[in-house]
Amino acid sequence: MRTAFAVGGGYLAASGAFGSFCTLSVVAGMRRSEAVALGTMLVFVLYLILILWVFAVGALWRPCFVFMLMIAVGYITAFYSGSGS
Amino acid sequence: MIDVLFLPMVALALFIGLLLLALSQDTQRRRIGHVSLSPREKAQRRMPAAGILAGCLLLLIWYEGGGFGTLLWIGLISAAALAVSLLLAWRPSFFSIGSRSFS
Amino acid sequence: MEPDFRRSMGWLHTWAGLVLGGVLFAIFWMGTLSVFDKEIDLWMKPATRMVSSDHALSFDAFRSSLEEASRLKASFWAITLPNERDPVLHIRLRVGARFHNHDVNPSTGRDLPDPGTLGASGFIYPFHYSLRFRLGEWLVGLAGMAMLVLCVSGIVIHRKIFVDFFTFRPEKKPGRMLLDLHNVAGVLGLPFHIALTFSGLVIFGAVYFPSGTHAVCPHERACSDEDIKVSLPTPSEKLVVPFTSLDEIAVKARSVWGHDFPESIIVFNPGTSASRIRVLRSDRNQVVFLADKLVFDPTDGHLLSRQPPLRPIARTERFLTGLHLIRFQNWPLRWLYFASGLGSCVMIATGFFFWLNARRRKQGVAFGFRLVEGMAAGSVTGIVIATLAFFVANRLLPLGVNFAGYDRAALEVWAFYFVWLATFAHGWLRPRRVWIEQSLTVGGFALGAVLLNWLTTSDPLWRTFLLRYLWPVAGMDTLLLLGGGVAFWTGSSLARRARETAYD
Repeated sequence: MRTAFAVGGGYLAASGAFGSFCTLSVVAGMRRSEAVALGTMLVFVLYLILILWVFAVGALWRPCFVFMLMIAVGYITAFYSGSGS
Repeated sequence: MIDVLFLPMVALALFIGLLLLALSQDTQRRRIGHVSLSPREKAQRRMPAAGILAGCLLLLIWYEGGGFGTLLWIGLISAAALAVSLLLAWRPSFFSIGSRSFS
Repeated sequence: MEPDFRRSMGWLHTWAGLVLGGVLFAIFWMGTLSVFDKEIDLWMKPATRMVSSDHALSFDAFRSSLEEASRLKASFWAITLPNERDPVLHIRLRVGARFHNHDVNPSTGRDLPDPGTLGASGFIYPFHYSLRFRLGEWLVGLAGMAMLVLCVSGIVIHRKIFVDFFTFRPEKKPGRMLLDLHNVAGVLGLPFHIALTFSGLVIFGAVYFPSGTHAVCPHERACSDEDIKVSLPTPSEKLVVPFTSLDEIAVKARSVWGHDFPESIIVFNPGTSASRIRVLRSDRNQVVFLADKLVFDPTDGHLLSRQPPLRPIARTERFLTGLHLIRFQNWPLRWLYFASGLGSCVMIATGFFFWLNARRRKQGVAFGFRLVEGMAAGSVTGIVIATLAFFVANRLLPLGVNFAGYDRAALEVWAFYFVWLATFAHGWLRPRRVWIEQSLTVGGFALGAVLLNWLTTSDPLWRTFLLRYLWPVAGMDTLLLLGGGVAFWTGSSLARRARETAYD
């Protein structure tokens, strides 16, 4: 249960954060290929931290909340950048 | 000639540096039957050891370039540390000679 | 909180290791062999064992092949010159969905006979990153993340990293000794484990996390070559355009780069108006993996575009890629990679052994224990045996053999999978004895491979050592002999210990 949450939830959360990171850094004036390259290097570190956090923490509601927030932010930025361009 | 001998020499230097480090540790000293060192004596051995390791890194970067130098340093340090560990395990007598000349 | 944290990390380390350790061993073992993929290719394809020619090669000598490709409406035609590790010239083309690959003898310009094998670069290397099944990359990615998790949790539960930095006590009880070995291999190789796992994940980053690319590139084609500004129009109109001389383009490329000669030339859509020529330089004197691209127009041969110099972030990413792919030319470093890779294999294997050893006395007959023991045997010694069986099959099967509709290359692969499955079954059927028997099998297969190489190619060890161009073969034979010796020694000492405990 915890494992599935860590692997699956962590993946979705990291993926969402990665998407919004790329969108935001391109908006901030970064080159697209560089934003993706930097994000790719960071997203694995983030995913690793999220997995370890799920296993280390006592109560699951906190990572659960944060993950949902990250996924939501990912969708919101994707939506806005999609409609903007 | 220098090309051929450069890496073995650096590896040897790393080996000596790590050996000094190992001989400053209480666990290893107890295993080979030496008394523990005072904190001051430990520092006296660890400073040159750290110096050797850092010096090797700089030397490798200067000679082989930043990328290769760093990677070679990491690889050689692992190999040298393995050699130290195996020696400590199977030939502790080697260390009694070595450490007597240091202490 | 503190002891709780350590306990949860310990739990994580045990279970992640148990569940994915087998996959990790397969990945690290195949990756370690891939360090020397070209050398293994030379061993497995005796026809390619040749002195590399010194005289400058002409690209235009292969014009007829290029014209053939444009007749076949190939979507690309590529030529790669031999290099220090690979004495053969390669021509690759794609017609429709099929890839064709020709190995060419560079001194005669003639095609070499079909080697009848995938070799290391066609089997072992793809196995390393995809396990050779669909969506295998995802399992590799999961295992890669697990490896990072295992590294971190291992550090947390180990505690006395610096105190025990050099601690290896073979004189202690087997359990203690296995744990020491696991720790030493883990801690000393830690930079290697983390750097290689991380860079491997980053290479496949776009596959595992497509969200970033999707977020900034709604249309993939528009983005892929953003910095190069090459447009590759689809080959719509069939119009045979005259080709400029490839050698002239090579000379032009050389004048752009300074002194380096192109390593390979790719012609996209040959024979159509949409054709483009891309020239690649591979700089083997730096870690950064940089395929410097120049694009030329094939009709008059003028330079269309050049890759701009890398900026810091892209350079970091290329450095990670280069660090993993080891395309550079640095023999000491290559050997250190190989040794470190073996160290990683030792770490994973001893992790399994420690788990088994700690539980053998209490639950040696329990179903779960036997399941894990069979798993561990199949995934550690089993894959080694299977790889060796792959080599032995390569030397035993006659060229051009065909069995039940499978050609020689496929039969070799079947030998690998068949033997691999058999080692799992063996592990489940014969608990305890399995380690002794499989160690001896490893030794037998390794010696057999060396002997067969001698008998079938008349390149025995004393000959390969004397000739520079056969050193890769000599190296492989030597390593097989060494590994076989270690396996025999391990097997016989395990057997001796088993006898001693039986008499007690």
